Amino acid sequence: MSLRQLLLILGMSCQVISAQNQAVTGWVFDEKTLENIPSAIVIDKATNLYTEANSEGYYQLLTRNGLRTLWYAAPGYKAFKVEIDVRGVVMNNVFLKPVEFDEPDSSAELAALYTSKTSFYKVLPRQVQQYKSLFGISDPIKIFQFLPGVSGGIEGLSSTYVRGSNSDQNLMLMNGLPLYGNGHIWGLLSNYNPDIIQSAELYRGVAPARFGNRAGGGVVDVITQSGNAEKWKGNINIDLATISIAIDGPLDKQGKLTASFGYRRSYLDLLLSSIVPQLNESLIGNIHDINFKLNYKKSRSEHWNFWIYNGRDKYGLNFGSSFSDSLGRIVDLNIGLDWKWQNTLSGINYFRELNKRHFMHASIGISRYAYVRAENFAVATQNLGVNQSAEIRFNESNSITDFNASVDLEYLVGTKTKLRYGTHWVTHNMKPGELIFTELRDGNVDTENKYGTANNQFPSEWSSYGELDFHSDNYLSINVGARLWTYLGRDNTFVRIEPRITLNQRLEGNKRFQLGVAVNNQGIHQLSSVTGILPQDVWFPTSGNLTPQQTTQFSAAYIQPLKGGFEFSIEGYYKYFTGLMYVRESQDEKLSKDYWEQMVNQGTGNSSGIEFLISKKSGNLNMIASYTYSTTTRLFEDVNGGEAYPFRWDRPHKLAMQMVFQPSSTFNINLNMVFMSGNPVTVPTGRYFTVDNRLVYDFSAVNNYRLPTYQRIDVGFTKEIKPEEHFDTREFYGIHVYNLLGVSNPVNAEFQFNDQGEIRLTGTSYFTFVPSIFYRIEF
Amino acid sequence: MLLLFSCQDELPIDTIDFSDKMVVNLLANNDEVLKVHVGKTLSLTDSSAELKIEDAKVTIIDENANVSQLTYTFLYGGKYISDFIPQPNRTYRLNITHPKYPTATASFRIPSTFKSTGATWQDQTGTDSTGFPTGTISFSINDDPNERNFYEIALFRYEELGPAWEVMPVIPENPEIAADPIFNRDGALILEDAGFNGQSKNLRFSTPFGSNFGTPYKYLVVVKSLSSDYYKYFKSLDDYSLEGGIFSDPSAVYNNIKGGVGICAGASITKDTIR
Repeated sequence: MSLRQLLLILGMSCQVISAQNQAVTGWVFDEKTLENIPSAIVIDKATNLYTEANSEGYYQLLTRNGLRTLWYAAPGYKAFKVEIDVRGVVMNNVFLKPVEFDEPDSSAELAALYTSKTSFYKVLPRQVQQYKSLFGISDPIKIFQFLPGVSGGIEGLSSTYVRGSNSDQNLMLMNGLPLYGNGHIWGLLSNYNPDIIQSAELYRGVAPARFGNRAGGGVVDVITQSGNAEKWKGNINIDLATISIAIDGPLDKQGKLTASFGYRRSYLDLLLSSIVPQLNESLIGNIHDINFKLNYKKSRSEHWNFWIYNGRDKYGLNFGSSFSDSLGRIVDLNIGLDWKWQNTLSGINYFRELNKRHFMHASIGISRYAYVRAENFAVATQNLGVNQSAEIRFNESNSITDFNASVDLEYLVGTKTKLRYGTHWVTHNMKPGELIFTELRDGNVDTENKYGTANNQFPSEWSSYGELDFHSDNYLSINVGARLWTYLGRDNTFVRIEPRITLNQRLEGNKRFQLGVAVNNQGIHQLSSVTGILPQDVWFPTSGNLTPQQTTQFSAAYIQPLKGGFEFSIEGYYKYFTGLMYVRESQDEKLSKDYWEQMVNQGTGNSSGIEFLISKKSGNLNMIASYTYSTTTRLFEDVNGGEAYPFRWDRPHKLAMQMVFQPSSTFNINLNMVFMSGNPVTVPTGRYFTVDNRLVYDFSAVNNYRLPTYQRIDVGFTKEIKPEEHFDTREFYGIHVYNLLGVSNPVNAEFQFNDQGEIRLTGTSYFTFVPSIFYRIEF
Repeated sequence: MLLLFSCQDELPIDTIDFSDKMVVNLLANNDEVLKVHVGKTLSLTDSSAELKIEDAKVTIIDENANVSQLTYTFLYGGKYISDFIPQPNRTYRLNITHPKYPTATASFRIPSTFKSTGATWQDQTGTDSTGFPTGTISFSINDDPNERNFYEIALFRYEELGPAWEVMPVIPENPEIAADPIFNRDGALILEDAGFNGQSKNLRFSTPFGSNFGTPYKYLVVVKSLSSDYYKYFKSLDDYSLEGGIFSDPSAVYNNIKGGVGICAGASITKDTIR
């Protein structure tokens, strides 16, 4: 036997012995639905040892031998205490009960104490359902916008700007795969259907090393339902804009195979076409979200799931006319305009316990975002039996398709130390802008010109990371990690190391002090609209003389529990950005030109702020109340005379509150308030002649005018319909008023002349006083 | 839907500074004396013609702190002119004072003269949209890798009947340049070295059918080496937009005048004749 073989056997033996001495492993389930609960905390209070279950609800806790008292806690569920005689490896699956509407959520408190996560907020499915926004729609992204440091860009839209980052610096995840679209109806609602959400989390500060690429701003991590293993359940929801149905349940008797399905669709087009049938062909406008997930618990150590999502917006206008011209010919004229954009995601996840210390999650998936605008002009003539036709087609499109593969592993190094490590690969198929112009005669292609194909590229990003999660006896939790990020572009390769550190020190009275440091690199960029993310906003790669975006962030926080389940926090941060984009040109049609990466400038930016947050997630009052003071600037060599200027979404003051009061299990009141500084825009201040004698406007500075203060109050309620008469179903209705006081919140500023010829500055406001009604049935 | 829930309101303008400023325009080169235009900005409602300032004190200070005062002349449309020609590789400071306005200052540098490899012309290298044969003028730029370089390229053909040099359209054949060319007011191509920094870049330009009429044919290639301010100004004029687009803010014209608006930039000229 060679020495190497001997060491290998000894090592394996030590591992087995060590593991056998002190491990408790298992899965955490919802007692009602038998669904896995992600991110539950398992705590041995006596020794201050704890661990966090992964996204599939699997945990591994190394603890001491003997009779141990373990606490299991997951926000939204009652904390559960169990005594276990730990001798060797003990498997202990746990079933947690959901918290009732008026019960304190002790789990939330425990989960907050035993963690190293900073600037982190988890929104519960119940919170998502209870919160109502524009048109009575529930949307987790809109809830996050009430948190300090997070704002939503233009009125009513679901764009997200986190601590001065650009909108393309948010890692939006659905079941671990990146989502690229801005949402539906130009961003009015996000792609996350609230009826199928199992868990939604936001890191608005430093995210652990396992999150990369677009994680420089915020990380939105949403996991969809895996399916009730006990029985089939579902709900139907109707609000002012959409109708949705969601069902989930077991596919076999043992509940090993479960499924969930969600379908959401707008219905205004159906309503209009039923009233005016002719509209059915001439006016198109609808959205949908389809979610499907299949979950297979193969054994106690092996789980699989497959899921697919498609979210699509489609709008169009078709116009046709038939007439006889002066020569007696019959002329058919048809004009068609179509816009369509959609996200399609699909993935397979494989979870496996390798041994009592080692757990693996492997996944492959595809994520695609595509935008198409098509215009069609056709004319056909008939004369004496001779048919002739001519047609012009204009097709503009952009898309990004990601092919993802990843392996994430968790390894318990010791009782107080967990190692997370893994590797992520993504290849982007990027088509930033294509324009196809086709002329047809008598059905045959006469000419066809294609532009923008030179921009098509296939860059890849490969990242490997390691995180060491350590918690000491004196209540110090540290997550120290690094990510080795490699960008393999058409013209360049970049290799960078991203350090990530989060520290959480618990003080007397469960007060906490947190620190965070992170560097994040991003190889792809989005040309975002100044008025929010729009569907046609293209993603394009780092190529030519462009460099990747990089975000460096420092944060410090102090958190103090208050009476009655409230929690107060104060947090300061500083962020520095490089490789930011600025589009030099205004004509968006140029995006279809080749080599247009030459048209963007790169620069830097910084953001700093102080954030105050009071939150409560349990009992009959749930709320987020926040105040943020921040400044965010941008600096580009060729913009604003090379001087720093305020970022378009810089809002120094932001005061926001979102509250749900539930006096009984059948009734709740919803109140939202937002008061924040107006964002700056650029307005001209004079005119002058250039060297070539052109009269141009002098803007004096970029973003030189701040719009008036944004103010909004929304109120609403949800009430159960005749609860005493229903047994298997529950019905709810509600009324919600968005912008109750009808305050105008302009989104732009432009000079116009009035009837007297006087110049005046005007702004357009949207959604001033929008009442809505909604209905929901759960079965 | 947005239209359904929208309204328009008047916004306060008391925070906007509408006071007028001095407008200063100077494009200097090593081939002529300095000609400085000084005017003032108009209000947003003013549709009158350009308002010149004729009583400003305009001075130029060179690297040796020598001060020259420029004199106003009604020639060249009303400008302040110098009694010297600026030299390549020299930096100058422009200073303009007027009792009604804050002092306007700027500096400019005349870049080193550009050295190109010999330009050549070849006939019948392609066809135009109507099928007529076209030719190609080509030459190379040996770009300096140590700095960001900018170029202005103008083409002329000799017209014997004049006789005179006539401006030719500059039609780039290099696809990366043809995708988004920038031209100045005279039709010259403005180029930066972002895509070929430190390399020898071969540039090709299409000459229209018939441009070689006359025997022997004669072309003139004029290449200016531009300062970065010079390039940014013409680039911004090309990009200028009041409204802004879906993807961007309103795009202002580049301004490097402290205390005012306008441009102060230098260029050096090199000429090459093809026979």
